[in-house]
Amino acid sequence: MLRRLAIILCVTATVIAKAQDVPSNSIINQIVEEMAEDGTLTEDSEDEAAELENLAENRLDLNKATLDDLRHILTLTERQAQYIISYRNRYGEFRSESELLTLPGFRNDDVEKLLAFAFVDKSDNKDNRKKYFGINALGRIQRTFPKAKGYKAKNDSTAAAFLGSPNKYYLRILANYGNEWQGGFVAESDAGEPVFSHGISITDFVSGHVAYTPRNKFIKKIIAGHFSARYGQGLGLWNGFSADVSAIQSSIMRNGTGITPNMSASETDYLRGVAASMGTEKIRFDVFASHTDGDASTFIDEDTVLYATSISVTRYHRTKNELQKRNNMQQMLFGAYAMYTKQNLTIGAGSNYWHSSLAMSSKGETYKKFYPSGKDVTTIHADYKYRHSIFSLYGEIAWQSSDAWAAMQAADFDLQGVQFTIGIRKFGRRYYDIMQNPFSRASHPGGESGLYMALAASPFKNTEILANVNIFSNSWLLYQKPAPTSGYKARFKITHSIDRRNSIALVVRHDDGEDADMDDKTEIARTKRSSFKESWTTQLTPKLRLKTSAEEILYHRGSFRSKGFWISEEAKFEFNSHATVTAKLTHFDTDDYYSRAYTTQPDVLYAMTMPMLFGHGIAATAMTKLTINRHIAIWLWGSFMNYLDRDKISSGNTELNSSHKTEAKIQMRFKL
Amino acid sequence: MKKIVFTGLFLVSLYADAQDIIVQSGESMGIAGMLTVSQVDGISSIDPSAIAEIEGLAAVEVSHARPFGMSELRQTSAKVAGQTKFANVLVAFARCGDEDSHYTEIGGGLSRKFGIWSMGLEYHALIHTMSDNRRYSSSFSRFGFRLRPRKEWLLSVAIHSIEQREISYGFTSREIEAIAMAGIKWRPNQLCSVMLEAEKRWNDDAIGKVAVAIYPIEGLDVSAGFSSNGSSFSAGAGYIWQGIALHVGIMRHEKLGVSSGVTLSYNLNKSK
Repeated sequence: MLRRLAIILCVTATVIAKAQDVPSNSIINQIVEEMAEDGTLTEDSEDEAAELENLAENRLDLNKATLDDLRHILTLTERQAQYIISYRNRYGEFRSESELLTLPGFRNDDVEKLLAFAFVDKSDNKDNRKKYFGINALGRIQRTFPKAKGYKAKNDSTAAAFLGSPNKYYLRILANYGNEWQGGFVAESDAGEPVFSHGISITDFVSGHVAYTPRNKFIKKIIAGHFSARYGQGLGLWNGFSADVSAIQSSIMRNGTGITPNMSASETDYLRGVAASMGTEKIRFDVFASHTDGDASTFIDEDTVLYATSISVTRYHRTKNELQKRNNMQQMLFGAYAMYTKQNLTIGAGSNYWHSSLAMSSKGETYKKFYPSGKDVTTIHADYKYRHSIFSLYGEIAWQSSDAWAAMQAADFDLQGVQFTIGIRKFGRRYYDIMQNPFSRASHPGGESGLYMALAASPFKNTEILANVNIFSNSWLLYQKPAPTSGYKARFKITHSIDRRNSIALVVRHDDGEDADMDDKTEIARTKRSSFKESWTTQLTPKLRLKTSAEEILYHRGSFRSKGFWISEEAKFEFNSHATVTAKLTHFDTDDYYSRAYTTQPDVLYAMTMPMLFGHGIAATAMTKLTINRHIAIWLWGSFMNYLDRDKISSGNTELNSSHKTEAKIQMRFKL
Repeated sequence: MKKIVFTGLFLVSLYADAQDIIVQSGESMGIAGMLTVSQVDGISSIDPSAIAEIEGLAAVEVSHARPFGMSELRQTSAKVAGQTKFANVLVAFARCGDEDSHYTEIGGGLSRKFGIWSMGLEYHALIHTMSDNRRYSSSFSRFGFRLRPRKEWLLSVAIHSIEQREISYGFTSREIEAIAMAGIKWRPNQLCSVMLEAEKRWNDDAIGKVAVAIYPIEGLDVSAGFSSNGSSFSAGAGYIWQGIALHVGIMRHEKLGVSSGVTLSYNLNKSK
């Protein structure tokens, strides 16, 4: 008994010491990078990255945190969060961090990451309420060199296509008063978009919110302004990012966080209006109303009725044509959601009504035949989660007024260190994700059915494996696919910590499906894409970390073959608590676009990018973070891409008349 | 033969059409068609070294399968295995096909354990009978070895039709395709086991298989698996009581449809 306790304490000390040695910011960067490489976080996940940073600075008290609080820690799975609550309910409060290692499914790595965002409070009278007024303001300017074609006048009589400057601006301000009041403001202008001109009063995208979280027992939250709504498993209503079938993950259980303030710079994935959440510990009730704008491509039929054929996702407003479509479509959303929780069971049900000022049209290409038409869509949905000691069941069904339906059902098994997930899904052909974001393969899931299986285990000491396979089929056509298609995606990841300084990882991705034949677009051909990525990370000294990575890509489509390769070296050096420098050099060589690769690169906070590499070239990135004092931090970032196989980059208005491209960013943050 | 005790079931393995003369039991069907490893250590594996792990009394198995739901491809097989002083012995009988065309296979093998590893060899006679009662025969062998470095780990390798003989039909002949298989099974605890297998046929692409079996209560196993051959998903279940085991499995090929199989076995040693 004593020996076991001693071992636990030693391990705990190691875990805690390791957590304390690495500053929270480094852990956030590391987590964000890992999640980006796994596909469980993307470039539009600013809210999630901000959430992590906020949590690192205002760590949760594990003895007071609710299940909802724990769901904001992205490194925790739903099951891990439930284990923490169950343990507390059963055995009382945590007395030390070492108890976390005794929870099922918690490895050293999991505890280390958790302790960056939470703590075990040993004090009897600690009041976790923030006692200060805080401001977190961040501003960024970035630019690409040389100037793209769109910034140059074609001749003396024809002005440049882009109406704005090549600078991209971003401003984000978050203010809070205690734990109850929060306000946020975001202003963003993409490169080429006009600022304070051409009908744009400030920047192209502006968002703001005020959120009130009272200590009232009945009213939980009120938000006015930009917000997100996420419920169930995404079949009924879900704004924002969620991992799809390409991600390397095990459980696909979603943590529907309900209504939350939205500070993302995504110009499409948000709601704007008012939302409120109320209820008791067991019953919660949300209501929301939203009015947003969109850019729609339109056409006029023979009866001179204006229809929307598609809704823009990028919402660029750089040219006169793009500006003409700006906000030409208004969308309204009203809805409600109720949830009941009792012990291990959670049941939810909701409904929302979506209305567009422009009628949607399903005319056009055959694959759009079952897209919704009209101006209104009503969605009714119901979901549940049930947790047992060794398994969790969860699922959702949804029905849309266009006579469409969707269903998914999944189970997670926790088998003494081995996690296994199995899930099935089926979407009717008419099901359309206007305000939904279910777990699916295709960008529009209508007609898709699929089976998902995943396994996570630690078969050897310091080794973890994660594997998943997703089998899918579509009963209807998809974009650029002339027939119903089927296939599967498989992911495999193994990581091994050689010692405290060195770790290696291998990631294998294999996609097997069907696409239009390269030579005859009316025929279907088997398509296979495989990639093998290896990486080795070493903490050479306490201040210097090196990461070497390489990936091989193979692509087949019918008789067409393509391959690619890249190798990179990344170094991160922490001079002291005030200065950190990160640099990465990548050499890539792919036959063409089909064997392209995506890599992560060191980037400033809230601006993660995953550049696509295809062709032959070299990419270099360097970033310096200067922490002036506890209030001010400055980032200087530069990236240089040199293509060895071309003398022009991109095409159209974004074409650069050069074989190389340079990007620069300056970002400053002020915190109070 | 100092110690040969036969008990229980007959395992009848039917061989499918010439394209695939590997028999799939109900157990195998439930774990993505794995041939070298299985949910419950027994004799359903086609790895000749598998029977080396039988200790004491012997086991008998009978199985029936319907690949892709087609009666023309139905398989029935029987296996009997027992322990002798020198080695464990297997006798197998199988039939695959229907009255218009079917294969009959009779074979036997020996397997012996050497500490943590086992080795086995089988030899089978194959007869192809046509509707007009014409018969064409050939034979093939199988070799297998397995390693059990620790109780929870099993590595199994088998090679089918090493010599790649042919069945001659006079004016033409058909090759008995060589197949190499390698499987790994990891059983970390009493609740689950994870299995992986790679299969490479001489004239075809490699196939990867993965499966998980869960044992929620004693005697019961539930399995699910995936095979890259036809993006196939499989599911199965089995129950063992007093040495009698019943396993059923289904596997769905994305284009060819659903295959099903059932296996009934009896292991006298486990009944005690």
